[in-house]
Amino acid sequence: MTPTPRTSSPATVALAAAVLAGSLYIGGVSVAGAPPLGALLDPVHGVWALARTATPPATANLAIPNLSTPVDVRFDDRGVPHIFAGSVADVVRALGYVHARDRLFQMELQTRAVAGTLAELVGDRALPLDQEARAQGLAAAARRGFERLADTSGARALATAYADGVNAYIANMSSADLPFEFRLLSAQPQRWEPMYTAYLFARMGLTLAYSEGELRRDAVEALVGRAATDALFPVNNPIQEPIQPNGQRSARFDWKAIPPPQPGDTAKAIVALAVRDSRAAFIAAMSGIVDVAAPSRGDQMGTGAFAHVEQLDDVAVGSNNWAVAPRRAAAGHALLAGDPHLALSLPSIWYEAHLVVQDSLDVYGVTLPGAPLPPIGFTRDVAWSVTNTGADVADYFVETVDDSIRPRRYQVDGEWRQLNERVEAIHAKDGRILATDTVLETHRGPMLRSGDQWVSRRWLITDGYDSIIPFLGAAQARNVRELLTATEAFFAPAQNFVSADRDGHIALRSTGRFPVRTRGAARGDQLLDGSRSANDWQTWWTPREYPQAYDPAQGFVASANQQPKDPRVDPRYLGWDWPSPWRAMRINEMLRADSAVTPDKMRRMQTDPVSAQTAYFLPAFIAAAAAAERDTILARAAQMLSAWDGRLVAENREAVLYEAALSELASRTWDELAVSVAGGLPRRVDTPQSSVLLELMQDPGSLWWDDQSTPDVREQRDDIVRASLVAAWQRVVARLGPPGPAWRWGASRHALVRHLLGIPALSRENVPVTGGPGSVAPSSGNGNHGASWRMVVELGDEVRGWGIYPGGQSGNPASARYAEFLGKWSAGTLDTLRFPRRADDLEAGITSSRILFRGAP
Amino acid sequence: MTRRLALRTLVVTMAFVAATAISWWALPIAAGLFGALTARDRSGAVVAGFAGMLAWAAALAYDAVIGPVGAVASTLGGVLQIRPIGVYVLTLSFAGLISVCSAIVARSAVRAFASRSASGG
Repeated sequence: MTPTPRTSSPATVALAAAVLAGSLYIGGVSVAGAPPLGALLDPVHGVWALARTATPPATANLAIPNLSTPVDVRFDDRGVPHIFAGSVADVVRALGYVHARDRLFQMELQTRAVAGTLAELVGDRALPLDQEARAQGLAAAARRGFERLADTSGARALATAYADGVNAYIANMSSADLPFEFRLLSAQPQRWEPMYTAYLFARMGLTLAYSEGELRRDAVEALVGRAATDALFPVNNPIQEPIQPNGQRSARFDWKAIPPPQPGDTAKAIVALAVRDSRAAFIAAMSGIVDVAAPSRGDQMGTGAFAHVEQLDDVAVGSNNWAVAPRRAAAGHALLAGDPHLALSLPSIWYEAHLVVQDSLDVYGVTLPGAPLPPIGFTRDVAWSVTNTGADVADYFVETVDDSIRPRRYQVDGEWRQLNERVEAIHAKDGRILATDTVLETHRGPMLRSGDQWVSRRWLITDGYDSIIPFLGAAQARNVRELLTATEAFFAPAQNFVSADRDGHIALRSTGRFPVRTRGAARGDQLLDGSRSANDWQTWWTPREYPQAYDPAQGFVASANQQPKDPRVDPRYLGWDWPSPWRAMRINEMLRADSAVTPDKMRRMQTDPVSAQTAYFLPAFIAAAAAAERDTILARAAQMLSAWDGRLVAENREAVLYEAALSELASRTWDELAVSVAGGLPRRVDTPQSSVLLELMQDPGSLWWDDQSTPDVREQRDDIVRASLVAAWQRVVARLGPPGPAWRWGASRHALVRHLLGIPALSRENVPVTGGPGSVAPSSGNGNHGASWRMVVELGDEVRGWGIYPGGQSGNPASARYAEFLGKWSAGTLDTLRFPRRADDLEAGITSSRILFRGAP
Repeated sequence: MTRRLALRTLVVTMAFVAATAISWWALPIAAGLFGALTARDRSGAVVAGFAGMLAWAAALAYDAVIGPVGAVASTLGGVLQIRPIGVYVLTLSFAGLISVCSAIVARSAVRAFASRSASGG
């Protein structure tokens, strides 16, 4: 007799059925934004598969369509591909493939950020970013620019070859290869179109050449009047240490009196502040981070001890480059250094690569995933690096429209013109339409509403342009002259190219399109009357007119984003929002003082902890507090600052007080520029450069020193300086306690390298840094900007390069290469960059993996 | 008896690994099939659940031989805000849960069908 099996009770079966149904549901369907659990946890196809792809196979044989000859890619011990190909198109195809392999999600995210289709990838919360992207019209402009390229143009051919490589990878991807972020978002990569490279350059244009300065100035003018605004935000920086050498051996101080503030219109300023805020998240997203994971994390992560303090505006930017002639170098070879500063992200904006085509290309540099050639690098003969010029290439025009609520026409020279209407439908992940926006455009560009007026923008970046061929020319240059010729066609965003070659020549040139405005509107820093066509741009500067120097007598060239030309040399308008030249002053000081420069000295200069700014403000604080009675806070603070050597190093304690005092000084001095926004603390509409603050320091009795909150008292400069020092002391004590270990600069200032989606677990917080306001490596207050790449090159008989960036080659968070270089970057050290002439020059122990590409059938 | 059970579990585990190679959803299907085939066996569902966990553990072990599984656990744990060990537990629990539940439901369905057939209904 067969025993009767024990049966499950109906309740057990019902429970099992319910649990199974629930498990299958959350396993297969995205719930509340979480990825489907089954697909995620699947050990074969899910997230665990990242372990199998974290380390590439030692050797792989792969195919790319349209490859003309086989390509050999050797990855060295730092994960850098050395690509040996038979043609430039083939080397670019292979680069597209390895970019996609290592950075596919980054490429997808940056493309969608420009296209305004982020919501389709990350969800509805990206809708405001998409709306802003569509309103900016970057993708439409990039598309137009790409479509203008001739079918036979080199740029189109290389962008297409690059797309071949990217799409070959996407087509060959197994489920295990899908990047982590796609899994979290339950998404798949889209096919890569050649014009996406143009999208990337448009994005760089927005990061580096976007300005709403006129709108900010307009708001400031509403508060304090035109004359004061012109002085607070001058076209020419009051401290002149220009990029183009002017024969001076030190900075020149062109102090002028700053007119007192006039009564203003607070309501207008508040509207301007709101417009600025509405774009802040978009600008951040276009700089690299699309914060979809934790929108409030910015308040929590790595913001240092003084997150609530508004920084002086010239703290965050900080790219540098310089070149030294052989006669000032210890080994008698030209030297070059460069450290472009950008938003820090994981994975990094950069990807190192070495591209070799026999007899026509041999370049090592940092590439942008999404683009086929390095914007910064070196060859066997020449090296170059760039900093942002920051020229004014965006003008705003107040338009006369037929209807202030729903305009359809605008007026130019007395005639009505039809506004172009661009309808933008923004879709969600599931395909439904989230929003349909209508963007109005004049012949200048998109219109936006600022308060009670309609303002259109003429912006160089939306002209559409080719940035591939100039960089191909740079990569094929045999000397500085050839590099200068090749980069003449470089359009935007304008860059200060510093270069050096093996023949011992050095050069710099601020290169890009610089608009020539009409006589009536020679400056572009103010809102222009859109009803006059005479206010439109007329033509461009010629390359001969660009700020430049070739083998200057001083024996070096350098740039640090400062004003390119001394107005006494060339008074024409190029821009106005120039950072104070503190970094340039320090770099030039070090270079002038050393006639035996070595690569290692160049490396140390890149993280030099001295701020030139300190030499001017520190004595002012100490002097103002000289008469303080003993044992008062003022006396203790002054005593502490007196003992400081001005170096912004991690162990230092005085720097915390100094920075807080400077911040307090700016807040108390520029209180006329602050407006009270409902429900919040007073906020400054804009902040003059610290060089302007120093200019004001020369006038102890200026009305600007008067504290608006004490109408019965007329304060003088030293009153405000003393009050700032005391307030800074009290604030630091309140946050960090009495002077002690907690006051370490290193505890207050650090880098925050955030993941592209802002996911804390994939980010690196509290990365120690050296430097601070005004130093060569100016760490920003919230830590999310910094040196995105540091490079030193010696152009001797054999070119040698060293470099590092704050990240790693792989975008796979499980890979050892994800943040591999971060520790060295933090320590200020550089890796030796391997630069083999032939594939077989890379020894077996140095080659970590290899791919052999052949043409696809 | 124990050896036989162990051998059977091993065979089922291998079958479940093969099913997972198709996709995660093939695991509950395979477990359901196993539950149906062993409807008269009192330990069938338990074996299915255990084999489901073992199958995914084996797949994880294979991943670990090739690459840094611990780093994946740390990464995902960081995102989910749980410890890395929790990611392993979550993964294996999920496999065990869908296997055992699927086996129970399939077994009950087969029995219900069989008893209805036997009663002539």
